[in-house]
Amino acid sequence: MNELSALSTFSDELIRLFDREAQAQFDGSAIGEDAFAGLARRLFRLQTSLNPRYRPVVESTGLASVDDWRRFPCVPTAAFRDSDWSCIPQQERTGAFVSSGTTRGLRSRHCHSRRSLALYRGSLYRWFFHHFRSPRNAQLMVLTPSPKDAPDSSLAYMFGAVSQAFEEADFYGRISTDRAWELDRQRLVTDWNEARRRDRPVALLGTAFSFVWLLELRELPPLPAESLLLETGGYKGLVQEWRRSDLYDALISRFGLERNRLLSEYGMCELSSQAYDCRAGDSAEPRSFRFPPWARCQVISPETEQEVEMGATGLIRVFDLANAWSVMAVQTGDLGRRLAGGVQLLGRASETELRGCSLRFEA
Amino acid sequence: MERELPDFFLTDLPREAALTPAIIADACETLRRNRLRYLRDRSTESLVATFGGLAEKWLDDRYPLRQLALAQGESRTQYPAAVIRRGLDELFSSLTKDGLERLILQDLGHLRRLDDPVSDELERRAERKSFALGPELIAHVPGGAIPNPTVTGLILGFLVRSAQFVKCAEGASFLIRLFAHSVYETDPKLGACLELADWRGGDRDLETPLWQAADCVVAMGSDETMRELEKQLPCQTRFLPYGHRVSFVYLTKAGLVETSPRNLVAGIVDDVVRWNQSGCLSPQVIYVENGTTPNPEQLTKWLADELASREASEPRGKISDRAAGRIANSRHLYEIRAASSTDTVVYASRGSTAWTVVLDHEPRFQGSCANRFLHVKAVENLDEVLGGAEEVRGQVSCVGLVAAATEAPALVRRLARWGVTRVCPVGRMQTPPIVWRHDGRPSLGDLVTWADWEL
Repeated sequence: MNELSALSTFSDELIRLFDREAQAQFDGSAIGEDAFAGLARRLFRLQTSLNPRYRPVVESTGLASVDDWRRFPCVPTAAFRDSDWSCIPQQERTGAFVSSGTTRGLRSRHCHSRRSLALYRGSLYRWFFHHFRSPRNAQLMVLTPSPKDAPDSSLAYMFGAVSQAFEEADFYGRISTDRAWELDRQRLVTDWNEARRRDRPVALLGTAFSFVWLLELRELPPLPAESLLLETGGYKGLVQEWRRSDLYDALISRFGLERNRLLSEYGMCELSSQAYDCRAGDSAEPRSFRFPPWARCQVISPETEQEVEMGATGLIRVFDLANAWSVMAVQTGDLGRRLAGGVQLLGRASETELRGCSLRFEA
Repeated sequence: MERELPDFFLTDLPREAALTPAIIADACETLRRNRLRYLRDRSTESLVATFGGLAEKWLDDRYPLRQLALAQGESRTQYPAAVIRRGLDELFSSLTKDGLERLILQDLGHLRRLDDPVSDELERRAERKSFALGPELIAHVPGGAIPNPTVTGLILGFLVRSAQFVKCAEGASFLIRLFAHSVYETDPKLGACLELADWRGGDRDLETPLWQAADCVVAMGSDETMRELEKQLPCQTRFLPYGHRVSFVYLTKAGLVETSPRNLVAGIVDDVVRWNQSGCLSPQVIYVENGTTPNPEQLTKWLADELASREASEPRGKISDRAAGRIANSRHLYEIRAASSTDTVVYASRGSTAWTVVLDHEPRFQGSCANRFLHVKAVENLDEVLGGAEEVRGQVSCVGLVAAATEAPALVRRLARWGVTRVCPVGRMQTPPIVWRHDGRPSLGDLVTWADWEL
């Protein structure tokens, strides 16, 4: 069996493990510590061999033979802007997810194939529904464009994948003439009011930015009982004028949501797994983002490159087995605080310090 | 040493004493009144003597406010004591009586121009006199953490007989505040013409009365911040914006032949270590022509060695997690590139983010993370440099030039026409003389209005 076949086998095997974890309510029985370590080791060897861009990185660090996943060389998300980190042969590629980052107009690209997308769906779907526990009759309203309209958005793809589980689901985002995302406000208001009239719970998915737009729509009444909301993607400087906590407070008071039915997701196009800060209905505080059992998250000191103590701050590093077809070990540009249950996000390390997100002047 | 400062200024009040628009308006009114009483009719000679003397105090290790700056600076600013000590020494060494007089002569043409209508030689022949007058009230909005531009700006403000209000960034007023106290202690009447307050920027309620009262606003920050601020000022208010600027070094083949590499490397690192590279005049990129001796690779290694040795003698100190994270991310990215390309080389402190040097052959200007992070870029010639720096054209404050005497005039002409406003030797980039025209403008000349008298 050559290494590409071995990677395909690994990928299919992972999907089955995701299923078993989901059936066991993510108790770690399928992918516990030892299993994760073994899978990570296998994947590291395969990626070192199959990934022409990753191999020299591993060789330059002299870590090709290490077994502990914590020591595997990481690729920074910024490197996805100028290099191809895929293991997928050119002829099998079906497209790529592209980041929304706009640093000098450069965007991260993460290539996919039919097989890698199956793995991506397997990862996102199960962990999403473990957290986003919506009533059976909920009407899904997605504030991003559909995957058809935004084929290079991993977020639109993800929302498209989960929307298939709902009887009624629609996308209210669209692409403007200058290629930005905007809301189809009229249709949204009509459908929102209809859901309200029928007293049917609404499940809302959108970026932080789209929820700011929602708050500007004065004609929207509160949401029916049991509605819930998932917010994502506000960590890349899109929400200029709002602090996250202020946004949540405004959404709760305006739409009559309960705090524990408002969830946050942390994900990026360079990863194939996502983290959530709460399961709908759970009220545990402080919240922290948790990845699924097939991914491990570390908070690394920028000074020493070692994992920080509990409660300390550092850069977030993710080892994501669902990234089987690119690189598993990814260093994000995000700062986080290590908590017992997961990680608390503190924003981008690249943000200018003197400027808070609602500060107009540096001074 | 612990020492509580007296409550001379609004910024000295306890945090719980909330500022209100009425307090700001009253303070501005008081400043104007005190100016009439204590400042308007002071002579230039007396003011130059006062500030020349004050600068000497700041250079004396026994001066209590200097001791306070060094003792508490590390916890109150983002700089360790060694960086503050060097910064204060270099700043106040430039603020001499002679230097201030040279500046008045350069910008206003006559030493007594601010005292009375006077004539210089040309004016005498033309039978005219003129008198330069400053604004009644200047509002300063410092944009960064280093005190140099604000301290200098305050002295110039006093020279033109203006009352002054400094609106500091919240929690970033420590060194400016110590300087203001030194003015008050040395000359309470001058101190009564100065006010300091700090609040979080963007507070329209507090800012509006200040913008209404000031005749002139001197502000520093990003270009975007400057545009925002300008929109809020009454149209008759003079606005002197200083946007964020960047600086680089350019080393030519012929220039390196005439220069001692040891002095060159030490000079560049001096400019990087000053205020931990957070000033606009510190170099972020070193452009080196291919074919130099030493070649760009050797030079990069020497810069790394020098930065490592400075870390032992003048440690950079602790920085915030966010600033360290920015360095770690940037380093990581270049290390990944270096793994598959010999064109990229990274030298970095081990086990810390204390210093970093990255060599590559991509001429595009790369803004540094500051805190002793240097890019070295090997280029063919000045065309490549200016092409690579096109994105920051109009924002380049200073170029440290190492070139042969024969080629330098042509290079400076090209740099100036391209938009560079200052060219100097390496090692002096972050210590401009008092007569430096800040971002190409006469600092003192821009503050005054002229009254001409034709005889």
